[in-house]
Amino acid sequence: MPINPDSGIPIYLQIADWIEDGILTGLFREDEKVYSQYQLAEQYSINPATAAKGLSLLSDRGVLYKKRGLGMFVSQDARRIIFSRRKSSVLQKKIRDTVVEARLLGLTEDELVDLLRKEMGGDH
Amino acid sequence: MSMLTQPTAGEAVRNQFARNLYGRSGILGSLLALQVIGVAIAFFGSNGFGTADGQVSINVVDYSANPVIGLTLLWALIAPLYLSGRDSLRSDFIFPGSRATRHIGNSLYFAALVLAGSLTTTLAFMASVLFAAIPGEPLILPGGGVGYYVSLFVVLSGCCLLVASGSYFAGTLFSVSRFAAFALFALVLVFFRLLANVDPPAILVGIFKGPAALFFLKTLLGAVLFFIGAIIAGSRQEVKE
Amino acid sequence: MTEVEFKNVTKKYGRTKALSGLTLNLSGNKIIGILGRNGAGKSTALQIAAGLLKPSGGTVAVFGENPFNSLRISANAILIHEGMAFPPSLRLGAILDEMKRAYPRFDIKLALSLLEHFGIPDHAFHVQLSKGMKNTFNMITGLAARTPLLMFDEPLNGMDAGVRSDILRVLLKEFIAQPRMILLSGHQLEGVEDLFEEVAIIHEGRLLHHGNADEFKERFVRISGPGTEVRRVVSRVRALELRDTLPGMAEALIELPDGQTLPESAGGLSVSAVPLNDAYIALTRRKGGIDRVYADATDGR
Repeated sequence: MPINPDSGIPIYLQIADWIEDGILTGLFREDEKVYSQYQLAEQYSINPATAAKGLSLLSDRGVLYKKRGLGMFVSQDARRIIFSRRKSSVLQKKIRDTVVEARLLGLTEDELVDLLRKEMGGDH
Repeated sequence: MSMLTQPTAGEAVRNQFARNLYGRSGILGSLLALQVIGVAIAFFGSNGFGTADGQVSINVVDYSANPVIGLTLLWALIAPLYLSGRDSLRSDFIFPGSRATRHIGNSLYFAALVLAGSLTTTLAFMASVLFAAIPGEPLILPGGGVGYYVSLFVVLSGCCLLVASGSYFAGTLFSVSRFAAFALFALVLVFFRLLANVDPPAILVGIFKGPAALFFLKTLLGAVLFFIGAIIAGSRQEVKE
Repeated sequence: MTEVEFKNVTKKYGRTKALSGLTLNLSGNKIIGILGRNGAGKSTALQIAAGLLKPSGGTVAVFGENPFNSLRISANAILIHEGMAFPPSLRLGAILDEMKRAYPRFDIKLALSLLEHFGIPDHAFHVQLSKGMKNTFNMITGLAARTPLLMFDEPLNGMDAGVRSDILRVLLKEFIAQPRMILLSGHQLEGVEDLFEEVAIIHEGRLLHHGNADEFKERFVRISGPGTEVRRVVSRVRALELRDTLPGMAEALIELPDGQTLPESAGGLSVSAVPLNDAYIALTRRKGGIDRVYADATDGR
């Protein structure tokens, strides 16, 4: 994953998002070890403390758990936690952005819903 | 915090000495070059090398006016100015050390070089006599035989040590504060004029008259005082860009 | 234990004041950015910490000891800067040997490999190197010296972008392999700012800010949009910059109160993060900024 220092999103959040993505795509499985703060720091040329902040955020969310002296591991219900948080916050925010954009473009509610339906139908 | 290293002053002095020897090879090189030039002048040129300053002529006149001696003394006057300057200071403070270990290392370095330089000068003298003996004439050593060379060595190293230490002290003082250096220089002149009312060379002759061993002790004492003076003068010196 | 401690330190050069009451405590094995404009006093502070200069007033302690003329501090702290004058008759390889003799933990193998990687011949003389290569060499000697306190004063000047990012990666790897306190001063920070755990901003000889680098970055955001909206936000928070861009539009760089975040695109405003570089420049800018100075100067005619 490319960490983008200019994206406006704090780097530790980008790290956290990337690990969550990895869990969702199956890169990291339950009870498997994730990268250490030092591996992440070297990988992305960032301070280890910043990487640690990303990891500890995930541990606060319950996505990761710490084994003393061994590192951070993926929790049993990591996927569920990620799903529910993203549904409530990430999706919410994206929908809000979309609504703002739609209003600017003068779309009606029905037209927006139609677009959404079409998009979801296209996925299948 | 990782563990701190505990350097000793001895190590710092040794490193300073070694750094002068390897890192400032120009100082040793210039001594060797000047001595080679001196030997060349002695062999191929006339013996009338009379450009040395007052101090030089007083001390060496009894023995010889050989250009090697003059050039060695000239070196003892100039080299310490380079080593006590600000460029050398800045370079030294890249490496571990204190102001005192730097000055002590430098003093020992000059002492070693002066002794080596005096030894080679003495050897050059002996060689010149040997060369002179080659045409088949009987070998006649100058009055005093081996003792002559011993006293030549002792007196020459004493002189060089005094000149080098005085120059090192002056250089250090000048690099710490130009004002202080000039003030001290003026004071010394005034001292000679007012208190003694005679020429400075005459006073120096008075101080350093006597047998070679005593002369050496006096110059050694003078050199030690000058080096201590340099350590004190440079003890709070800042390392500026 | 506090590694570096400045207590109300002043330093005067003749009539100019380089430091006017600097108080700063740095502790822990961290990479810390010492930021400030040219002439803010960063170099003077580092030279005092390295024991090269003595303060005109106040007290300084490095590893609990006055660094000026301390043999112990000189062996445990090294200051790398552009004006380093290595013994002139030594080739680079011999300089490294000399460093090895002087610094017991000096890693000569690492230094030589880095020289080779950056294409600096070890038989060259220091004076022959270009500005960028000189700074690269100096940085290598500092990294390889492995002193518990490592200080870099404007180390990246004149380096190619590639060399710059490579040597910074080496710095990070070295820090991870051998944790120690690394201070990095500068006024051009592209590519460096993500390495900092803390930042200390020095302005006009004093400490302006010291704290966690991530938190510092998050405190500053740039908002832009309709002038009335921007001004409404600005009236509630501290604004470091406010300027009209196009007619009816404005842009501001604001400092958020502790723990508060602005929702993105709130009220038709676009909100973006500010690079560390811009934030500290805004923070150390004189009142009004260049637009005001120019406007005032030209209106007066």
